[in-house]
Amino acid sequence: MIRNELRLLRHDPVPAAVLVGMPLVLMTLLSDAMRSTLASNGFAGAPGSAQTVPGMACVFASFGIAVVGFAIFREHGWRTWPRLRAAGLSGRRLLAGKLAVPGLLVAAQHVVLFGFGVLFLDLEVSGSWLAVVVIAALFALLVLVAGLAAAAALSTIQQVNAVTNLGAMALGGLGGGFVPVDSLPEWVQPVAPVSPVYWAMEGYQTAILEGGGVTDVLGPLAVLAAFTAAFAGIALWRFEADAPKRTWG
Amino acid sequence: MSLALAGVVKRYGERTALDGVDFEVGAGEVVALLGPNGAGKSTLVSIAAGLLKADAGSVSVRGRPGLAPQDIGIYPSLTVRENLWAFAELHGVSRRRAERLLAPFVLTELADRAAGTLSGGEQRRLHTALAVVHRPRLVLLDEPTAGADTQTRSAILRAVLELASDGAAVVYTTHYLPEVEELDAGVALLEAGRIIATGSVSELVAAHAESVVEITYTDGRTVRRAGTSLHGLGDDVVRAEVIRPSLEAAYLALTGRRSAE
Repeated sequence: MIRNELRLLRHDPVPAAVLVGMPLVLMTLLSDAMRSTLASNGFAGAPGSAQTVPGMACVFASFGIAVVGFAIFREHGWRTWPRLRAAGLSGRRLLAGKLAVPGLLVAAQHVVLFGFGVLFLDLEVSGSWLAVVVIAALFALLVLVAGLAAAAALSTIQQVNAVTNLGAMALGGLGGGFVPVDSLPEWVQPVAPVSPVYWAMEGYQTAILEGGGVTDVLGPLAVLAAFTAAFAGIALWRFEADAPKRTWG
Repeated sequence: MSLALAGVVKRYGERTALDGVDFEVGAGEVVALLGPNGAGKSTLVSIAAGLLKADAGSVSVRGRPGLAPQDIGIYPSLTVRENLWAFAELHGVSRRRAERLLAPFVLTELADRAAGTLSGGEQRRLHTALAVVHRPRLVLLDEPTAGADTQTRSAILRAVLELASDGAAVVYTTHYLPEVEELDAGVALLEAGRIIATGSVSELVAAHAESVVEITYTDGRTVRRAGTSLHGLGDDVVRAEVIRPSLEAAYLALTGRRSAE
């Protein structure tokens, strides 16, 4: 199953390349502007990449929700879903197979973005790299599980497209993925915590700008874990292996 | 038995798709499952494949069945060869063994073409080949020749006969009754969720078929009458067809409909 997902990716690598390449461009363009924004938020001297690298990592990792959703819906569109099920794969094993490649993609995304930030955009982690890795890993898990929940709960590919892509942009912006929450309009700031990106950015800010370690980011990690559990609940509740899914056919 | 269904009932809400179906297929047998659209053929196949659960009755299947559903299911961006590999891997079968299916399904020349670029008939052959990658003891082919060209049809029929001669049990749904006669398959006729007739082609023809003339009038009416005589047809007849004793005639006698209806 995983081998075939990699085969499919090899035949059409453009979406994955865009999900890794596009944030690099945005990070490069926005990092200088973010330096002054961070300074006005009390982090004078911090490089703009302290905002753009984790921010773009969160926003573009969120598109992983769509990657998971499409990976499942395209099997319905290609009419291969019943064949996979008839091959003896249980619905849950099928879904687990569908998570592996998006998981690798999100992991690669984080490695490239943070690596690029360190090498070319003066990103420094004043606290614990381990905390950064733990936040990234939990956020990646959240994204994958949210993708499963979307695939389970939605019934048409148009819904997947709208909910996951627009949702990633909206929650990314609301949660401080593009600019710090403190720079958002005042009326928006109180609702920012509804976005998982807000909690990931809280954790990143603690580790990258405030010198925090793993214990200092336990609060944001707990909230991210709660979001993950909620999405997992939706996925388990709504998933039916033989539920019809309308695609492009 | 490679497949044994006893008293199987399947309901979709208020509608009963299968109503106490008994159905058996043994090793080396080809059984054509016939019936009008909506009779329950695909439901029966889906239950045998494990995709649907019966609401009542028992289902016994030998091994993991090979399924070719009615709609073509292939990976369009992968090559023909890679499609075979994909399903070989799912079943724990070697790639080399899967590639042995290229020749019988007339896919050798197309092995490195993306499946999405194949013609409908070529896709249909690949779709059917994917069902038998793991050499299943039970093969379920749901309308495998629907819309297929002559080459595809003959390749699939040849493959079905080879599978049966290797000892596989084959369930074959179709609306093309000459194929059933060509396969010399056993027949189970499904109507409104019940099996209304079973037997070999010759048994069904002997028991139920008689010559019928089907007459279509200018106002669209279709009338069928026994015999072969075309005498006495008026000016308002646009078409008259003599249906000789055949599986088609037996089907007509049992269901009141032509197989393609």
